[in-house]
Amino acid sequence: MTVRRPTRMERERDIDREIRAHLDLEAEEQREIGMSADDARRAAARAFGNRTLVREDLHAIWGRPVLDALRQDVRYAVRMMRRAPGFAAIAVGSSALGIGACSVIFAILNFAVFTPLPVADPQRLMSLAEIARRTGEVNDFSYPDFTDVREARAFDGVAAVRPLVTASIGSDGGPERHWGSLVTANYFAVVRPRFALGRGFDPARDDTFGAPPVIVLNHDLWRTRFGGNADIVGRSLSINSRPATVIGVTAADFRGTQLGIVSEFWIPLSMMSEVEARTGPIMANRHRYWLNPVARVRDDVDVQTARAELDVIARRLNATFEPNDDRTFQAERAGQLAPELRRRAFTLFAVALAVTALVLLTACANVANLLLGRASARRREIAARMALGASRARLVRQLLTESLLLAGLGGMGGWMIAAYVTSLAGLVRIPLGWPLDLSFSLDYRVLLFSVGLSIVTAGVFGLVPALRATTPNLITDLKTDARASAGREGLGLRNALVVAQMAISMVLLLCMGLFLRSRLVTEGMDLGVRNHNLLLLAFDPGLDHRPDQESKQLLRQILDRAQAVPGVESASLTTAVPLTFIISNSNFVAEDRAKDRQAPRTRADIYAVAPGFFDTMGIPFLEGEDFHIDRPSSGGIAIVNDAFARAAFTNESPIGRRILGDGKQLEIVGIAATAKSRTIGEAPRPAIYLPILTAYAAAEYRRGVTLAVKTRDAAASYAGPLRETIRTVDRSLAVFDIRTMESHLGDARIVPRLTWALSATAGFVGLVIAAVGIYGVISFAVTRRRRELGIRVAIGARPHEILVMILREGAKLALLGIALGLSIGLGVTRFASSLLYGVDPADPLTFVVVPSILLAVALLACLLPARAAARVDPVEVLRSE
Amino acid sequence: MLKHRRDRIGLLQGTLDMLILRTLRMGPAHGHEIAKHIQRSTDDLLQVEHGSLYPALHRLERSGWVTAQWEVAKGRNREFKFYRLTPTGRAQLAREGSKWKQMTEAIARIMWPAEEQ
Repeated sequence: MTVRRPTRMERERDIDREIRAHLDLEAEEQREIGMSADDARRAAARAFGNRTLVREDLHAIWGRPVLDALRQDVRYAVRMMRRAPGFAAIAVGSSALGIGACSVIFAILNFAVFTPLPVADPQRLMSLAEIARRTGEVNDFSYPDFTDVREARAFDGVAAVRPLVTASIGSDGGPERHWGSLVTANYFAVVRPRFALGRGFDPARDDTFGAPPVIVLNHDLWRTRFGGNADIVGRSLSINSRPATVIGVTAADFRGTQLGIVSEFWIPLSMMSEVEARTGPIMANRHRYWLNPVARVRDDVDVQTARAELDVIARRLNATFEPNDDRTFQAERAGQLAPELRRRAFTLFAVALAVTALVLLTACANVANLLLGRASARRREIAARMALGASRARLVRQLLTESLLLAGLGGMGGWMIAAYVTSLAGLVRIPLGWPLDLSFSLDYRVLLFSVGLSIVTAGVFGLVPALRATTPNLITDLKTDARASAGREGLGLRNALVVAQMAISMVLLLCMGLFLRSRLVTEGMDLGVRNHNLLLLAFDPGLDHRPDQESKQLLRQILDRAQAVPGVESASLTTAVPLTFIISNSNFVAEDRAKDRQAPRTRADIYAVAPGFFDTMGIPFLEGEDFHIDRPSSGGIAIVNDAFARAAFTNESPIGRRILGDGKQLEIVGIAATAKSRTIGEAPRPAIYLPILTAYAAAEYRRGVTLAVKTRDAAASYAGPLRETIRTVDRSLAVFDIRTMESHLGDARIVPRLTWALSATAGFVGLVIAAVGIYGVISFAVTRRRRELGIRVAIGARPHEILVMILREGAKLALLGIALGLSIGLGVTRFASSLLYGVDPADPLTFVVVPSILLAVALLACLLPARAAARVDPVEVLRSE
Repeated sequence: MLKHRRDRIGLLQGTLDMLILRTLRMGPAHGHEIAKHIQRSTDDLLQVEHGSLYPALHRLERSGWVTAQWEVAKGRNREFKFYRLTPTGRAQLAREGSKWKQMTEAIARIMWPAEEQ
């Protein structure tokens, strides 16, 4: 017969029943020998001894001790939290904010500094760069230098990458433009990433020019373009309208070996002519730097030896090949930031982490304060339990369980916040053109970090109060109450903490205020271009091996068709859209001054545009005439912007003047107003406009061409029809980066938007922490002074006088903190001036409004305990003391 | 009544178990009866805090040396938890008893060697 193990409840009932039966019998016996009923019961209890201890012993005998105690502690902790939900919410909320913020920063640090490449034996994989010793400039490699380094015996293999090449890749839904890498055929053999399907290139075959064209896709491209079909391997795709066979798909975590850049596909260097418009003698040229080598150090060689061998090679090359006698080779762990950047990033993030941790620490201090306040209030309970025989270790463990539970919930909340924030990071678009890898995700390292942080948090805000609460003087604590023993010790520290919190919060809020102003300014800023009803669609005529003559024909046709689409008011073409971070540029000089080497050169962004560009973009045309579609000039003409005219010709009119630059001789025929060219914060930047319909050359405009269309109504609705219009002209054209000008300009405002979002978050957190801090201290003071307050009321103080007295105390702390914060803020915000647009770092409005808000919030936080103080009932207080 | 405190002897570690088992050899009993029996048969000389009896009882039950069952006591209208010696408990008592006897004899020989002659 098997007997069911009784539940805890049943056991408890059984034990109680047994003890009760014993006591009843004993009392009965005592009565029989003549005791009164009361005396008998007391005598029975005395004879029995410590009932609590016996009960705990009995449970310990039957239970699984650790598990039972834990369950009991957790249940108790949950009960305490339920009893004080406001307190629990504050503790959980502030630790969640702190832990979340720290985790996000750590995740970024982890991504940029700690995470190794997802390849076999990543610490032996090095990324090589060429450094000019005299200037410290970091360069790519030339092909001949690469072949020399390839001979180094310290390496198992040396491969090279040409990142950021574009290709139009076809599938059933038509071609799309993608970013990939040209790599030497041994790339995958050297790097050794994992593959989801198939394999990498064959070094023996794929390195030879003219070998059958092959391609490796990354996981995302395979999933999004080819539906994740396993039969992709062996299939033929069109790359720039020519066939290539897919031989492999890399595993999901591998995005290439260049940090921050996503490679969507890889093709062997032997297929270079498929994606590069100009190849020519580049392979033999020792002064064209275009390759990033990656090398795998041999197992039996250490990195220092490998570096030494690279030095030997560099010295030999310097001795052999003039004029470059200045090169050194640098080898660093592949897939990580360059060392000098890494140091800077590390410092930056370490500082950010320290500041955030400091904020978390003050949040912990707040919670510890509140806990301490509660511990004082619970002193009698704790003293009573200790008198009943509970051991100190048991009580400390129980109080720690409580704070661990709070911090654990906080940690979970923080993890959720971090997950949300990192998911937002994927949405950040920076107007660079190529796909940025901002995939700092939450991996096990971040998880460990967060869990560790939660435990530390629990320790910081739990241990001190727990230890202090359980070393009570039993006699005084049972006889009197918290008032007597809480004392004044630690109060000065507590006040200092609140002042510091106020000051930090003040600085954070000042930044928030300034960045808000900056954001408002930039949202309303005139960027010199049309914002509404403007649609942008990009395509690249240079991709499909089209001769330039044909491309020009194509551009003209697309322009004609686009203008004929119903609802289109005007259309134009440009090789660059204003407010893109990177635009090709060159130095220009007036022809008659070109001989004078001292004459200033004007560095100008180069746009090749079609007629109607200025009208479509909403850039005012100032003087001269626009390009004309029916009058193709003999080449050689240009329009400049106002900033160019001022820079190159000061007060003279540039119309009709000839300039030299970018290998061209140009006659200026018109002047346009200056629009923002790259960033919203820039000073007026010279720009020069060339006629695209005659001047287009695939080799020069490798970022493609954008069709800009001014529409009668909401631009977004024209995206489908216009994409179709382009495709009807030529089915092999991939259309990409379709967006409205509003969204493009939104991306261009990334700095003010990001700084605002970050500072607003920080400011909010700071505000909450400061409010909780001052609330905690004031309400603690009120609890401590209940007796004094009761006496005050008893001798005639009115409630509102008490209220004002307490508020004044809070205001004193707040004002001290605010004054401190203001003076720090004046010093600190100056450093943010490069991130502020059109706002003085000492903006008077911000420096008046923000402190008032903080003061108001602080007073509001003090109002709760102040009102409690004003309601103190003298009779009740004096009786209970 | 209890004897004066000074005259009473604290229980040696581990002896309580043996005393309980010995008591139960005379038949099933509940906790209060056991306590009373130990007190009475030692003339109140051994001090047993009633409370400390129960952890010992439950430990014995857990070891399988006694079993426990709620039963109505004779002559009373109330259930008590009665403990019974099991065969293994009986064997354990024998073992403990002889060990104890050897020990007390050994101690006696050292303490009062003359009487031994």
